[in-house]
Formats: sequence, C-alpha cells, structure tokens
Amino acid sequence: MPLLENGHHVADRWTALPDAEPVPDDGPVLVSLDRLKAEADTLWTRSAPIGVRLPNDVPVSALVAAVGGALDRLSLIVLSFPAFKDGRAYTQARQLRDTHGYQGSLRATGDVLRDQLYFMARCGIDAVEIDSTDPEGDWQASVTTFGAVYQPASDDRTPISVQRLAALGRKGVAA
Amino acid sequence: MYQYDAHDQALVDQRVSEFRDQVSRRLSGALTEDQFKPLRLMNGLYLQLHAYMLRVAIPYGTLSSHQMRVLAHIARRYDRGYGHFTTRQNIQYNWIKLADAPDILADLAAEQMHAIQTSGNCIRNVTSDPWAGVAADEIEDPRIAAEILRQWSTFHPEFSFLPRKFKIAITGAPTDRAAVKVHDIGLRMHRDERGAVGYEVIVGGGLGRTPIIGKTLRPFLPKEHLLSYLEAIMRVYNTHGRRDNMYKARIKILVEALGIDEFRRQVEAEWEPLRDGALRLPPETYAAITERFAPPLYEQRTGSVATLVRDPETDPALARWVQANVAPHKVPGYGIVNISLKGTGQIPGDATASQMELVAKMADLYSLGEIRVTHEQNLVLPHVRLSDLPALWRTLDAGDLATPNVGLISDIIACPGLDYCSLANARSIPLAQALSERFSDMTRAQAIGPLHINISGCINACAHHHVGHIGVLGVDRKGEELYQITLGGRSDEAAALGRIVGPAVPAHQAIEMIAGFVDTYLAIRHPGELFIDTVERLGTAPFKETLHAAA
Amino acid sequence: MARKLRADAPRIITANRLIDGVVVYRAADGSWTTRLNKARVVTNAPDLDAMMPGCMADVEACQVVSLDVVEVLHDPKAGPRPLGQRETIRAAGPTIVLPVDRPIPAARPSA
Repeated sequence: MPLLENGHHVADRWTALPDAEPVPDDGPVLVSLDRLKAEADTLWTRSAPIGVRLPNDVPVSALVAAVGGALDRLSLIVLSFPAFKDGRAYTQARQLRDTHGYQGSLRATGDVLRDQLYFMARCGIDAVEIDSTDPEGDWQASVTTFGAVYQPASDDRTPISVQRLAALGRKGVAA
Repeated sequence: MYQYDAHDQALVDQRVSEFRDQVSRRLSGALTEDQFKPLRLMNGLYLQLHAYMLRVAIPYGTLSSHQMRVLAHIARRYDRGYGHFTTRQNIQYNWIKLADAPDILADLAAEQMHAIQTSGNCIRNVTSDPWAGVAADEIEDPRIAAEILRQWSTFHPEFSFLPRKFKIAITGAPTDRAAVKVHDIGLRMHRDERGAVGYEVIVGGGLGRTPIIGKTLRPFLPKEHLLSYLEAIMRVYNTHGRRDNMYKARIKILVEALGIDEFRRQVEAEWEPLRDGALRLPPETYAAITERFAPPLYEQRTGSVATLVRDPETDPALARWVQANVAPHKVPGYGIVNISLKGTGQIPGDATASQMELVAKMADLYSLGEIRVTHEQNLVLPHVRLSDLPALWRTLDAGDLATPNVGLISDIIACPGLDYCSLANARSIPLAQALSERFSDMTRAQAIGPLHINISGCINACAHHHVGHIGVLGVDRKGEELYQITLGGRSDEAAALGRIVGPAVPAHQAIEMIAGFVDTYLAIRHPGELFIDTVERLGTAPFKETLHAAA
Repeated sequence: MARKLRADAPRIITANRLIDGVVVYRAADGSWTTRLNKARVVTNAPDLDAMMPGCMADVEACQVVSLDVVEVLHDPKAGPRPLGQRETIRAAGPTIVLPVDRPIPAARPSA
C-alpha cells in the first residue's frame, strides 16, 4: 500500500517484524508493543531506529511506561484505524504529541480514507498508509480543505480566535 | 446577533466545496455508500423512507429574518414548500434529492448557514435557551458560550469520529428551558461567592434506549476553563466509550459503568495538562464574542405583559393569546412572543414557506429582525414592543400562526415518526393531530394549564417522550402500531423520567387514556397546582385508577 | 434483509434511487419501477437468488442504495400489495395530509 510521509509518496524503509522473527542487526525495525516490552534490553542496544505498533485500545501511558518515559527513543509509532469510524487513535495521536511531546513519526494504518487525512494531519499524524491511485493528490486535497481552523490542535496552525485577537490588537495600536 | 466574519464565511464556503466534491465522487462511484454515508451525515443528509432528509443547523436556535427567508426559499425550490422545526432547534426538509444537496448548502452558506455536524458521531449543534439574551431571569446570555463551543467543535480533528453522537446544551438562567440534564453535557450558569460567572458541568444525561438524568461532574467551572475541561471530557469518552455496541456507545453508559467519581477522576487527570494550555479562554476572547451578541438598542418604554392582559380594553382573544404566548422580557415595555406551530390538526413543528416568510416579515417589523427556534418546535420573536402586539397578533392569525396554546396540552412535541422516518416503529403525527383536535378548546386548555405531551415514534426518543409530563412512545407489536404512555417526566431544572402507566394501546385508546388522565387531574388537583406537580405529589396511582374505570 | 422470511412467501426486491432517494422496486424486465404493483414477485429462493446479481450490479453502478427483500401480499390479478405499515407508507407516501404552501391573506383590520 502506498506510504505518504508529510504528503510525499515514499518507499517504506521500515521492516515490520512479526513477533516470532529474529531482530536483524541493522535497519529500522517496527515491532509490537509486547515485543518492545519483552525485549527492551536487546532492542535498545541496536544502533538502528526502533518503531512500535500501538493498538488503539492500549493507553498511551502504557507505551510511555514501556519506554521508561523517553518516547524519543522511538522513531516511529504506528497508530491503528481498524475501521474509519473508530476514532480512538486521534486521541492517542494528540496525547503523544501534546501531552508527551513525542517528536518522531506518527503513522496511520488501517481503514484510512482520503476525507480523514485533514483530521489526521491536525492531530499530528505525519505519515499514512493509504489505498489510493493518487495518494499525494489525496493528501494535498484533504489537508488544504479548510483555509483556517477554529481550535488549537497538534499542528502549528493558528486558531481563528487568536488571529482575531491579534487583529484587534493591531487596530488598538493604530487607534 | 452573531454575524460571520471573513473567517467563518470562508469555512462554510470551503465546506460546500468539499461536499460538492464528495457528492460527485459518490455519484461517479469513487465512493461506496459505506464510505459516503458518514460524510453525508456530517452534512445533515439522511436517507429516509421516501427521499433524502436534510437537517440544517440553527445554532442555539437563533436566526435572522434573512436566514428565515432562505429557509423558505429552500422549502420552495428544493422541497415541497414546507419544513419541519425540530426538538434540537434545527429545521429538516423531507423531500431532498442528493444531487441538489450541494446547491442547497451553497444557498445556505450565502446567508451564513450550514448543515455541519447536524448528524454523525460528532459534536452536534449546541442548543440553548430560546429566550437567551431576553429572559428576565437570566444571569448572562448563554449564546456567547454556545458560539464559543460551536467554533471549538466545528471540524474538531480529534472528535469527529466519536463512539456515538454528542449533544451539548447550555442555559444561562435558573429556570432551565434548554433541558440540560438530558444532554451528553449540560452546562448551567451560576455565580460564585465573588459574583464571577461559571458553569455547573452536568454529564451523562440522555434519553433514547437508556434514559438517564445527567450527573454533576463539577459544580462550578470558571469560564476560562470551559474548552479545556470539555476537551478533557471528550478525550476520556473518545478513548473509553464503547464501540462494540452502538446502543451502549453514548457517554451516559460510560459514566454509569465507571461511576461518576471514577469518571471525574479520569477527566481531571486528562484536564491537568490541558487546563493552562492553548484552550484557556482569555477574557478578551469572551469579550470579542460578547460584543457580537450586544443587546439591540431598546427604546425607553414602560408596561408589562401582565398589565396588558388585565387591561379591560384588550380584545379578549388577543388577551388570551398574550397570556398564553407572550412571556416577560427583561426590558420594560417589551415582550417575548412565542409563535405556536401547533395549530389544531396541524403537524407539530411544520411551517410552510409562506409562513416562514410571514414570520421573517414580522421579525423585521416588530422584533429587530431576530427569530428563535425552540426545542418545543415553536418559533419566537424575542424583542416585541407591547404596543405592537395587537397588529402582530392579527397578522399572525391570518397565517394560522396565532394559536394561543404555548406550553399547553395541545402544544404537542412530536417527531416525524413512521410517516417519514426510516428508524420509526409507529406514526407520531396522526396521534398528535388527533390529540390537538381533542383538546382544541383553548378556554379549556388554559384551564388545564401547562402540560407537555411528547410523542416519539421509536425508542430513539427524538420527541423526548421520557421527559414529557405525558409521554407517548410508539411501538410495533406484530405489525400493529401501539402507544406506551408514561406520566411524570419533565426536562426542566427538576428533570425526571416518566413512569409507565398501563400496557401499550392502539391510538384511539391512547387518546381516551390521556383524556382520562386530564379529567383525573382536574378532579384531584389542589387549587393552582400544575399537572406535573399533582403527579409528583400523588404518584401515578390515582391515574392508574382512571385506567381501571375506563376498562 | 434483516427479517427471516418464509421460503415460499411472496417477495419483492426494493431499494431507494441513489440520486433522489425515491422508493423503487425491481420489475420483471430488470428495470426499477416506482410502482409496487409492477414489481416482480418471487415465491421461491432460486428465483430470488437469480434476481440478486442484477440488483447488486445496480448498487455497484450507483443506481440504487438500501437494497432490501420484503414480503408482500400477492394478488395475482392486482399485483403485489404492501404488507405492514412501513411498506405501505414506503409505497404510498405519508398517511397524513402534507402541508400546502399557500399565499397568506392580509390581516383582518383591527376592530
């Protein structure tokens, strides 16, 4: 399935590792949360990046605990949208970004629809696996649907309320 | 009232473009029905029995005369010349074509309206007191917070795919005209000991399959924390609300399962990192929105509704209408005019395009261009000079809009029922019509006093039958339409759920039962005692005796 | 298609037209008709199964949605009639007199 990172169609450099398979010596690997917990000692000694799959019914706090509070030891967290209407991972994304300050990549997988990319991007998801013939076009169309936003989220867009206050302030200075 | 600025306008215009693209992708086959359904629902478009139904948002029930004229235009151009005002202060059109929906949204957007989030598993249109800003008993205009909530919840990236729909109601007055205790979140304004205004946050109320009265999560939330606290509630709900069973997916089920104390603990934990963040509302933000709800310039006048009713010079028919339909205004010399959409034999909440235009014209002439929609499915002209009442009344009367029954027995709340709705099990409208014929004597209706009958055509309870003084639920028993009656429900500050009396019966028997309950009440009430208070004082037993007598 | 149907009960296939939501019925010639009495009635499972691929193809082709099989009363002379309140209303429209948008007369002058 096509992978988009920040809107660009890229080859997936990550090796998604089933739990039974041995961990290769190098190259970025993506493991389950259970494996991350069980094999923490060996995984962290590798020099290559580690990513983890976070099921959408596992609290973010469990992942934070599993990495000893240092989420930035991870380079990728893969979120799950088992059905497009199951929106739990939006909250996980915002908790990872805003509450815990996670800086690495956040990838959406599962039932990802073009019309949801806007919401995902605003929640701090920067990568998606999407079944599409024109993934870059879909990303571009969706994330630019609305020119402004009402509420602060996990992106860097300035909410309309803040823009309004700034405009008032400018008027105040001019007056 | 609130007027869009360039930001608001751009968003609804962009929404129209987005939906136009989505509809064309659906018609071309690029989207399947399963993929399209949640997208159309987030624009208020349902597939009902005979056609698509479009639900247009009327945020907190406030609209201008211009907007009402657009609603009339849509009824005439795209529908069959009428619309249905709902218990969520919205309007629904029953005969819409999918192919027309983008054009309708464009016509709405041109007059600062939309159908955003009027359906789907997202935060729905925020409802409020229809007398907001003019009620004599109000602490502060609740529409200011309602508008702040509207903006916060619109296209909220985190909360657009919740376990289930989510309804918020807010009242600024001690008398609750917004039914806040039967919403997912209810907000009641209070003042603290220093006089600062804040909100009591009530959570987990709701009707439907599992009716529950909401519980107080926080007795007093300072204004500045409104959004951060609600975001924390939503976050707990989005994470833990059930998704395995749609009948158990509302927040009320989660609150019941966790218990209010554990739910509160989780919300507070989630709130801690949010409370002083970007969602904190500085006073300037409140001030900027408050300015957009600045009260109109009233004239210096005197007089009250009561003196007008008592004046022997007043036409008795006018006096009766004033007594039933005009409420005290906070400004002397003005009244709040309630327009009944419950004429004898009429379909509750329905208005023709011509009636909408008449109301718009009356608003321009007599109400500073402003109109409200109530959750009782009536309309309101909020700023009417008492001296204009006779002329207004005569004109409304010519349009069958002056039935003097607001809050009385024939002011029946009813959902569309099986005549239109694909979810319904039984019809609601014919029973409402028959009851309004039965109680068409307005002198008797006034003697009976305030009495709310609510008729829902299925367990989803769109007509709020659980909180009707007399509630009626339509059921389907082996192909037969039957009606289950409850007594003692109320949606105000003393909210309570009605109790079932007797077995479900066919419509004609339901009418006789209700008539019998009214006779019983008239026989046993204390002087001046309301129907609901008699039921509260004596329980349902004396009314059940009516049933035995009738059997 | 939630209801369990008797194997030999007379049945028809119904749906709503995608573009406007209008109720339609599958006719004998494989078209969709708005008239219930033109619907093809089947009384056995093989006949019903044989109709399905064509109907599904029309769902795929974005002609109709909400495909459903419903039981009917079958009068060989008059054609099928609806069974139950819901299908009666789907076939014939609301049971109530719909509001009519009439011009509103001017107010009577004050007394």
